[in-house]
Amino acid sequence: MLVEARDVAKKYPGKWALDGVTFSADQGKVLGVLGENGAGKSTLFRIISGITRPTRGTVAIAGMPVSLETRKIVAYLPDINPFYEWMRVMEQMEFLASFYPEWDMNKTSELLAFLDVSPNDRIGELSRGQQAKLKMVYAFSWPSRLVLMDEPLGGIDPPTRKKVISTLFHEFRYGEQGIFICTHLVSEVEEFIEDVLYMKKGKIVLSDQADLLREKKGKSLTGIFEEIAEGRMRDEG
Amino acid sequence: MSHFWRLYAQEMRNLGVRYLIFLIAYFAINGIVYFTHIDKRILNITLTSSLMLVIIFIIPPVLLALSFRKDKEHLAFSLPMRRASIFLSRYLAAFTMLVAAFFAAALWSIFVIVPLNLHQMEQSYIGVGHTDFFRMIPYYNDFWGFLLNESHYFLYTKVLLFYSFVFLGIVSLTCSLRYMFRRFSEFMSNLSVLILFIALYWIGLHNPIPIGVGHESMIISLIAGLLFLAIGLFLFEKYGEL
Repeated sequence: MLVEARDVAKKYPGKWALDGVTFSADQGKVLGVLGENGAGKSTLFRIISGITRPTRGTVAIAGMPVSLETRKIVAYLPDINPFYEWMRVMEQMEFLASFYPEWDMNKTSELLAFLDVSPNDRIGELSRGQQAKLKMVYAFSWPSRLVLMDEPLGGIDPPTRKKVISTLFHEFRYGEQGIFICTHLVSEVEEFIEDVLYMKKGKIVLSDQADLLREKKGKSLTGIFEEIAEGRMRDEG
Repeated sequence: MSHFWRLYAQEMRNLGVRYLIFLIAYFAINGIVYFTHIDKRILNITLTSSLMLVIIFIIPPVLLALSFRKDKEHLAFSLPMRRASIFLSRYLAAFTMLVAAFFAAALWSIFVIVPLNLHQMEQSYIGVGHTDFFRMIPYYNDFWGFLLNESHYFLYTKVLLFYSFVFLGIVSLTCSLRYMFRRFSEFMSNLSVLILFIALYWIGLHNPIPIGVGHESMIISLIAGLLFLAIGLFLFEKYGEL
């Protein structure tokens, strides 16, 4: 088991962002975490990555509780630009490489060239699309066990989106790595999602294998997402 | 290089270099005023130095506060290193700036302010003033004799350093609180710094511990600064989150 979350809850002043989330995810699969804004997806990712502490519950990654050790095997790509804006692209990559012994600088150069990101550009001057590409370089320049992608396609144009998605699934180490992806653009990544979690108001309302769900509901993941968002589906999680 | 020193180097590159440029520019401007406006230099130096010396000691704690930006911490927090490393690397970068400010200000006091004051005295007594640092040394036997005699100028700089050290400690503590309590905003953090600093000063004024130039007050400042730092570090490591 790659990730095991038990009764995870997070309370922010005046509200529960997550409330009793329990799920497990296998290694080597792509898990889609879907839901509207405020459903608790980002909070869940932050807890798994170790940057936020749960109010209640536990999360284990590769059998280890979230800690310094798990941060060595998890690549977390938030929905904002996480990089130091005053650094140049290659400087940032070298800085990151120093934290991961297995980082492959040849792979970094290869990905930067493929994604058409100049190593000498200053990060603060990159467009949103370029920043999204840089996140992919970070995620796949080293053999992380788990990649957490929070809205990797948000605010970028369709051609760039296409390139980001193709990198994502070309570089994904099937069988060795897990990817958790949370996006509103479900249709763009629908074909790659193997397992799916639908979240609403801090809870999991539906979870299953994507193929089984499509078959059971007779509609696409996007269709199911819309149905849940409109409140037409009862809690089946 | 360990993660800590790598982070420290990044902080120094980001904030430290800008501060050092500012420091050099400040003293260069003062130097120009000193050497080119000979008649007005006493007034100019007094006005600019006293105010600006305070400012250069305030900037490092302000830069420390600015380096803690919750919206830009996702990467640092998700990297495989202890939170304490993030915290201490930033603190140490700000402290380095403070030490740089101290040395620059101390040299400025010794080489410019002291000779200038003596120059002024000479002018009042004999109508001609031609004192500079190198002419003065023989009158005090040696460099250290000179420093000892004029140490009160140097001492103001030292006092500023210690006040700033306390300030740095308070800032590091309030920054930690921002990472513990979601509702503890940047504004509240800044307000707390101000209140704590004034409260400490007030306590000092109403207690037998002399505030200002004595060794006791420096020791108290050192202890207070370190205490705030230790609490801040503990809270950040144990409870800090985004």
